[in-house]
Amino acid sequence: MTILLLNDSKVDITGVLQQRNIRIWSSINDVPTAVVGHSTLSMLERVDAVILELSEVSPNAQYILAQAIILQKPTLCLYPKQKPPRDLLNHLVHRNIPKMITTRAYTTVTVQDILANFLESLQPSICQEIPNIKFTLRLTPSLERYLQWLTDQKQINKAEFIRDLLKKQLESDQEYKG
Amino acid sequence: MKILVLYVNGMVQLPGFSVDNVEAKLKEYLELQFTAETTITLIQPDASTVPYDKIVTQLAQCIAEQSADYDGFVVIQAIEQVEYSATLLSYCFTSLGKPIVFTGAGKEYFANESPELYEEVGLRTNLMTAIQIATLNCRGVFLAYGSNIIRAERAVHFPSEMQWFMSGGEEFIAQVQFGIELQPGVAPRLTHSLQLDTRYSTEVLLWQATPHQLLPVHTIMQQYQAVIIYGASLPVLQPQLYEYSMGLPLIVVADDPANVMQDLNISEDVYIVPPITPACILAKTMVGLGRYTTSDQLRAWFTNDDHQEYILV
Repeated sequence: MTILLLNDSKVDITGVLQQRNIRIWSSINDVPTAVVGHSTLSMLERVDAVILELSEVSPNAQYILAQAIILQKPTLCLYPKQKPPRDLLNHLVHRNIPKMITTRAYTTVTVQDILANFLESLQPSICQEIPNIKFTLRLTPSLERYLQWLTDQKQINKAEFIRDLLKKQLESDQEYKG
Repeated sequence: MKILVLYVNGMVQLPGFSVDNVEAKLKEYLELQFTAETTITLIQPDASTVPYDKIVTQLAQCIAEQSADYDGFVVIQAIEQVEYSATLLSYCFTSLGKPIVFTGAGKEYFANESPELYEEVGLRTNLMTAIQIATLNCRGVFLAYGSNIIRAERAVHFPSEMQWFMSGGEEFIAQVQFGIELQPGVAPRLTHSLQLDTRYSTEVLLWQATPHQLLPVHTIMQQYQAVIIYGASLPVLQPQLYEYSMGLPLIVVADDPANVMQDLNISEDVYIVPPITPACILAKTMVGLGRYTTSDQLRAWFTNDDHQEYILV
């Protein structure tokens, strides 16, 4: 899953998303070259969801929010509880905004739960388990080269690729589930 | 920021749209954007039979009349002839200190999906992009169809899998990525008033040069005030230009203008210009004929590169 994140605040949203192995695009440097050249309208076409931190409502944030609504991308607009963007919130309240666009006031205590709930709504399996068990896997040189090539093609890291393989095996293993 | 949105045509061809509901639909779309206060004006709700130059004159006059009240302008027009409209509009302003952004639906977007759905999605996203650009610190006439934003003077309609226009000999002035940022060097806004001159002639022939076609001299003399030869090279030009004696301005777009001028006995009616887009040389010629009467005046006009329209290698 790929999320477009605009966050100029000190709140560590990136860390929360990375714990869940979510790919984050915050600038053009994060986007694979092949994707940059194949976006007709904007990068938003290629993401699964959008998270906007709105301590300061920049013109670019407003623009991305409008595009997210049009392209029907699930979007979480976060703002500090003590500093709501009143003009923007009033604007959203009075428009026929799709339900996939959500706005939440956060504190440093509540932000992780808010993010977890949003991610859960996108793909429940993302939030259920965090990989925290270390496992050493020794490979032959040829297998390592093949794994490197595979992960370069898919633009994910090796651990994520192997976890995905196991997840697919798990999902199809009726004997194990039984 | 206050932006004037001028609708010309293009939407009524989309399913669910008609002349009667265009304005309401536009209002609905514009409610989504939070960047600017917008006003809608319908120029020609169903402009399919109106010559594009007449539409451009209306646009220019409408923009000039209201230029003091708005910070930027967005023009919604169907994609087929937009580079011709946009370049002619650019030349109609002898002084333009604000941005005018052309936009609309791009056809054949997401060819594998429902085209009707994605033409509307493309229209709405392009409209948001155009509004955003119209608020930025830039001046000139631009095209915003897709994620590459182009100056009108360099736009070439070249539909590909991903984009609808190329920029001839110049980088895009902005690209839509994480928001929109102008490239360094884009001309900033100016505070002086907008000045308009809508004099032009439509009696111009744009002729694609080939080795085996002769200029239809008799037809040209009857119907046109000038001829543009496009795609010229020396071997193609020579047989025709040595015989040239029509007395009409002949504008030759040459890859290597200096080389052409050395090798040909150029009459005062022949104007050799560097590479330029077809839409731009057509607009430049139309406006030149409308404003100037002598060959010296025309020569100064074709030498002038104030619009940075020539693609200089």
